[in-house]
Amino acid sequence: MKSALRRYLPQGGTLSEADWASRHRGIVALMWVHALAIPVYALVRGFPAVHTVLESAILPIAALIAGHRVLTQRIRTLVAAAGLLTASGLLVHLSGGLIEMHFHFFVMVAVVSLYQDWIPFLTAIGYVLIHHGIVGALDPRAVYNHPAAIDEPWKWAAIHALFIAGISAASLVAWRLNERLLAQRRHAEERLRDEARVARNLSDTAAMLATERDLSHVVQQVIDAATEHTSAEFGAFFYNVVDDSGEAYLLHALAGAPAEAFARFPSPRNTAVFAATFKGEAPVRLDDVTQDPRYGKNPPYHGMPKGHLPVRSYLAVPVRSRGEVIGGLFFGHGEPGRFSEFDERIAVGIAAHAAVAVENAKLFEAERKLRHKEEQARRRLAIIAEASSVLASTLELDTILRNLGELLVPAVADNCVIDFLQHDGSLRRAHLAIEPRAAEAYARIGSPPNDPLINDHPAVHVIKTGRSILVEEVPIAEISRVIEGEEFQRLAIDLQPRSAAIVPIKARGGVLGALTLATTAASDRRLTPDDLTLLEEIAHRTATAIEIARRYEMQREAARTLQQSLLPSRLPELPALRFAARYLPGKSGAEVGGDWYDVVAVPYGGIGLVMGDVVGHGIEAASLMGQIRNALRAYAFRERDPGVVLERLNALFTGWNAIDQMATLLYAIFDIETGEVRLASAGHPPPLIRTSDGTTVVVDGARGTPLGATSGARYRSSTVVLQPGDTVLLYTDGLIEDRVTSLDRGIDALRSIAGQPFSDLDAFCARLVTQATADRAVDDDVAMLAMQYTPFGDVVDLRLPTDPWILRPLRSAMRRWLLEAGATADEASNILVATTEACANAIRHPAGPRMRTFELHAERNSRIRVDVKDRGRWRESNGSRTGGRGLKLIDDLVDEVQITKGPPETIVSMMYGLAAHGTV
Amino acid sequence: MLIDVAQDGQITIARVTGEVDMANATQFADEVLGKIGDDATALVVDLTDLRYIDSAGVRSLFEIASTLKLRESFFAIAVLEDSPLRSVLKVTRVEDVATLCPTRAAALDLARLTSG
Repeated sequence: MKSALRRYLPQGGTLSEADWASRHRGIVALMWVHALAIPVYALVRGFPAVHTVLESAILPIAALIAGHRVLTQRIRTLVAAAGLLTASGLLVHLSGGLIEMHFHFFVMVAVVSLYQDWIPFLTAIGYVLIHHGIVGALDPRAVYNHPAAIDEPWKWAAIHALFIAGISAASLVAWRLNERLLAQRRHAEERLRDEARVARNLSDTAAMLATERDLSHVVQQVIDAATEHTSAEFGAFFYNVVDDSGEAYLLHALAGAPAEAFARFPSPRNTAVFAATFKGEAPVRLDDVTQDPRYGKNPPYHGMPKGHLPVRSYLAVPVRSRGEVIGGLFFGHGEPGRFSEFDERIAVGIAAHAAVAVENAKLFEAERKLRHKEEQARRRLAIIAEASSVLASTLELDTILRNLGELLVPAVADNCVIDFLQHDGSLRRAHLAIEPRAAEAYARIGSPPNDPLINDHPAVHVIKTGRSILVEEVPIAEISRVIEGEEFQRLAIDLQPRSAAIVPIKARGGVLGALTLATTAASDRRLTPDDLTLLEEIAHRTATAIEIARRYEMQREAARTLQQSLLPSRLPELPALRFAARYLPGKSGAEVGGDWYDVVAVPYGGIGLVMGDVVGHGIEAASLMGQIRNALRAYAFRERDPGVVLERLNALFTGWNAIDQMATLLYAIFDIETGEVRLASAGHPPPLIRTSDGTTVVVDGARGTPLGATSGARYRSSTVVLQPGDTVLLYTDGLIEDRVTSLDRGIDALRSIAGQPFSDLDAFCARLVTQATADRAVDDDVAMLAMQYTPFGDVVDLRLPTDPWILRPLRSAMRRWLLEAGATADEASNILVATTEACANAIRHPAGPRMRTFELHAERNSRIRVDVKDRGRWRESNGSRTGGRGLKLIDDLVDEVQITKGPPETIVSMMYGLAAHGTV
Repeated sequence: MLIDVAQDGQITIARVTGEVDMANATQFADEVLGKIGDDATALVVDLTDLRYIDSAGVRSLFEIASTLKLRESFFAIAVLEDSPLRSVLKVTRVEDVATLCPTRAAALDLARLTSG
C-alpha cells in the first residue's frame, strides 16, 4: 500500500535549485501582475480608493517577501502559494462572488503544483478548502453570486472541491511524470559521469605506467592506482618473474597495507578461491568472501590464516598478457558488499594496462641486460685488444709490465700488482699500479714490503697451483694475513677493498708469476667471473709476451756475448807495430751487429788484418760472423794470398748460405820486414793510409763482390807498401755512412779527420770515431782497426811478452833493421839466430809464473849490439837437448857474448861486427 | 811455416818453407814424422826454401833422425851451400844424424842410391 502510493504519487522536493529558481521567478512575476491588476479591477468596480488599497495591499507585500533572496526557499515558496491563492480570494470577493472568478482558484492550484513540492501544494488545497468552507459558510455572498450557491454554500463548496480535486489529480500526474523524467535524466548523467571516471582513471593509470620501466615500480604503481580507484581497502598484485637462471618466482606488491601484513603467509596460489584468478578465468567479485562456497576449502588454514587482515568484500582479476596469466590483482575490504560492477570494470581495465606495462618492463629489462652484456663484451674485447697492442709494443720486460699496469688500472680495477717468480723460488714484485691515495701513502711511509711474500699469500698459492682466485667480497679480516706490516694493513683497510682477483701468468714452461687486481672504494666496482675470464686472457697474452721478451733478451745477450767473445780481447803487442781498435754498437737498435775485426798470425812472418761486416743483426749475424772469423783464421794459416783466402771463404760461405746472408770483408797481410800490404776486398769499404805527414790515401784496389753474393767469385789481391810512420786504417761502413750520407762523401769526411795530427794511436781512433759519427744517429755498428808501422831506429828498446809467437815478427822487424844497417843476409841470419836463441831462453825459463815479459835492447852503429834481459836465470844443463845447442849457436854465431847470470837478472849481451863497417 | 809432403817411390819428401822456431818446432817434427810413408825407406827434408831455423828446429831434426834410425831409414836434408841455415846446422852438428845435400835433387839421388 505504502509502496504503491510511493509509486504513483510524486515524491516532492525533487526540483533542482535552478529549476525551482526559474519557476519561482515566473510565479513571483505572476504575483506582481495580480498586485497591479486587482487594485485597478477594484477601482473599476467602484470600490472606494481606501478600501481598494487596504484590501489589495497584501499582494505586493507577499510578492516582495516571495522575491526576497535572504529568506529560505521554503518560506518564499509558501508565501508565493499563499499570495497567489489570496489573489484568487480577492478577485472572488471584489467581483462579488462572480463564478468565473472561482476558476482563478483552480488555475492557481495548478500554478502552485509547478513547485512539485507537497507543502505549497497542500497549503494551496487547504487555502481553497478554508476559503470556501469557512468564508462561504459565514458569508456566502462574499463567495458566490448566484442564489443557488448562496442558499446552499456547502453544496457548492463540495462542487468546487471536486474541481479542485480534479485539477490536483491532473497536476499530480504531470508532476509525477515530470519527476520520473528527471530521475531518468539524472541516472543517465550519472552513468555518463561514471564512464568518464573509469575512462579517466584508466587513462591516468596507463599514462603513468607508460613512463615507468622498472618492473618493481610498475607493479607498485599498478596496485596503488587500482586500490585508489576502486572501493578497496587494500590490494595486492601478485606477479610471476623468471630470473637469469630460468627459475620462476611469484612476487607481490601491496597497497593500503604494510608489507608485513602478508609477509608471514604463503603465496595465494592453489586454493579454491584464488585458483580461478591464477587460471585466468573471469574476475571474481564477492560481497562476502566468507560466505562463498569456495571459501575455507583448503588446508592448512581453511580460510584466512590467523593474523590475516579481515576480508569480507573480495575482488580478484587475472592479469593476462598474450594469452598467458602473468599474475593477478586482488582487492579486499573489511566490510561486505563494497565492490560494485564499476570497481570490477576499473580493476579489469587496470589489469589490462598492467599486463602491457609489466611486459614492457620485462622487455625493457631484458633489453637492458642484453645491452649491458653486449657493452661488457665490447669493453672486454677492447681491453684485450689494447692489452695485445701494449704487450706487443716493446720487447723491454719492464716497459711491458708498466704499460700493462697502466691499462688495467683503471680500466678493470683500482690496484694492480705483478709478482714474478724468481729462480730461487722467491717472488719479486715486478710492478705496482695503484690508486693515487695508496701511492701518496707509499710515498709517505715507503714502499710496501716486497719479497719474499708471506708464504700463505694468495699470490703464492695461485703461482703454486696455477689456478685463479676471485674474491668478490674482500673480508677485512683477511688483510692482516695477506699484507705484512701494520701500517700497510691499516692503509689497505683504509682503502676499503671491495673485490680482488689473482690470476697466474702461465707460460709453457710453468707459472711465471701472478697478476693481482683489486677494486676499492675508489671505484666501488666488483670484479666478476667475467672479469676473471678477461684477466686470464690478458695474463695468457702477458705470459706469451714475457716469453718472447725473455727469449729476445737471451738472444740479444747471447749475441752480445758471442760477438764480444769473437773480437780480440786485446790487440797484439808486436815489435815495430802499434795497434788500436774501436767497436761502437749501433745507437738505434738494441741488437748487436755482425761487425768484427781480427789480427791473426800468418805464415812467412806476416800479420793478418781482418775487418768484416755481416749484413744484419742479432744472433744469426753474430754467429755467422764467428763462423767466418774462424774459417778465415784457418785459411789464413794455409794460404799466402789474401785473394785466395777470400775465394775459399766465399766458396764455403755460399755453401752455407741457405738463408741468403751476405758479408763484406777486407783481408790484408802485412809484412813487417818489407812494409808490404797485400789485400783483397769482398765488397768492403777501402782502407785508408795516413802517412806521417798527414797525407791520406784511399787504398781502392779491385773490390770483389760481398761474400755470399755469388758462388765462384774471384778476388784479386793488390799491394801497397807502408813507409815507416804510416798508419793503415780498416773500418766498417758504420763509420762513414748512414742512410743519408753517400759512401764517397763519408770517405772524404773520414780523410779530412784522419789527416789531422795525432800523438797517440788510441787517441787517433777515439777522435775518428767521435768526429766521424758526430751530428748523426749511428744506426749501424761501427768497427775500426788502425795499425801504425814504426820500424826500429838505431836504438831499440822493447819489452816483449814471453810468448814464442813473438819471435817471428821480432825477427822480421830486426831483419829490416839489420839490412838497413848494412848487414849481409848471412850476418843478419847469424844475429837473428843468436838473438832468437837468447830470447827463447828468456821465454822458456821465466823467473816466475808472473814474469810475462822480457826486455830487448839493441843498438846499431859500427857494430850491432843486442842485449836480452830477463828476471829468470840462465838454464844451462847438458841434459837439455836444446839448451846446449842454443848457447853453442850464440857462441858460434856472434863475435862476443857475455852472459850475466843473476840474481836478480840474466843478461845475454851479444856483439857483432859487420863486414860493411869493417868491424868484423 | 808450411810443409808439403810428397812420396817418390819409397822416399818421402817434406818441403818446408817459412821459418821454424820454438813456436812451431814441435809441429814441424810431428807433421813430418806423421807423413812418412809406412814403407818409406828414406826421408828427404827439403830446407832449400826455408828462411830460418834455430836450435828449436834443430832439436826437431834430431828427433826426426832418431825415429828414422829406429826404422833404419835414410835421412837426408837438402840445404843450399851458401844458405845462412847451413851454419846453424853445422854448428849444431846435424850432419852427425843426417846427410846434408846442397840441392833437393842431390838429396833425392842419394836417397835412391842408399835405399836401393
